Amino acid sequence: MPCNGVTVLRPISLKANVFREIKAQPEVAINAIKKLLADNWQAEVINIQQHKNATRFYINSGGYLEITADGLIKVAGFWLPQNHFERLAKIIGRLGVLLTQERIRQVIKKIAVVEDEQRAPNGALIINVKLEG
Amino acid sequence: MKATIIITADGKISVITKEGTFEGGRQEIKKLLASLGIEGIEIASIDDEKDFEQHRHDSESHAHLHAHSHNS
Repeated sequence: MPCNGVTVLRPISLKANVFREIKAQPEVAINAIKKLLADNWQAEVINIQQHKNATRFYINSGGYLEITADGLIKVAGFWLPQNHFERLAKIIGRLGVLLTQERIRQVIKKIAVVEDEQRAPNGALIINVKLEG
Repeated sequence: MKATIIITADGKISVITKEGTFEGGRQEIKKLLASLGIEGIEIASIDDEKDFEQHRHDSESHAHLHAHSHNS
């Protein structure tokens, strides 16, 4: 008789991508990027445009931040020291993960019964569910 | 079947089922990931041999057997 036990899927990489999240949940993603630019670089987003396969966030100083479909980040028209650029890329990468976490949370609510969820101190999202399959 | 889904801050997903057999748990996890894929959440490809492991708990003897389906 098969005994009960624990089956574990070892950690698998999500293909988290900010550009994809802008498409999937535009309001949430755009507000998060606006806040990120305002909080860290005092840059106010005044216009958002699709430019070929990229999203451009024009800011009040005249430049823009561009996020491409493959997740690359470009800035033009405003100056960022090299270490700030690295910081910007890192923060946007983390934002991609946070937005993906949020989207998974929403999808899981649709496909399973969520019993509880919590945020670990290391930033991991832990969701206990009952699968109905 | 009860399960825990963990999404780490560095962008990885892990799933743990706590009931049933290893094979049943694996099938449920694969169904869950397929459902996420249908909703547009892309996940790196999974290796049936390397990416799943089972932890069996024999409650009568209180012995713990950790049987891994991979060689690492």
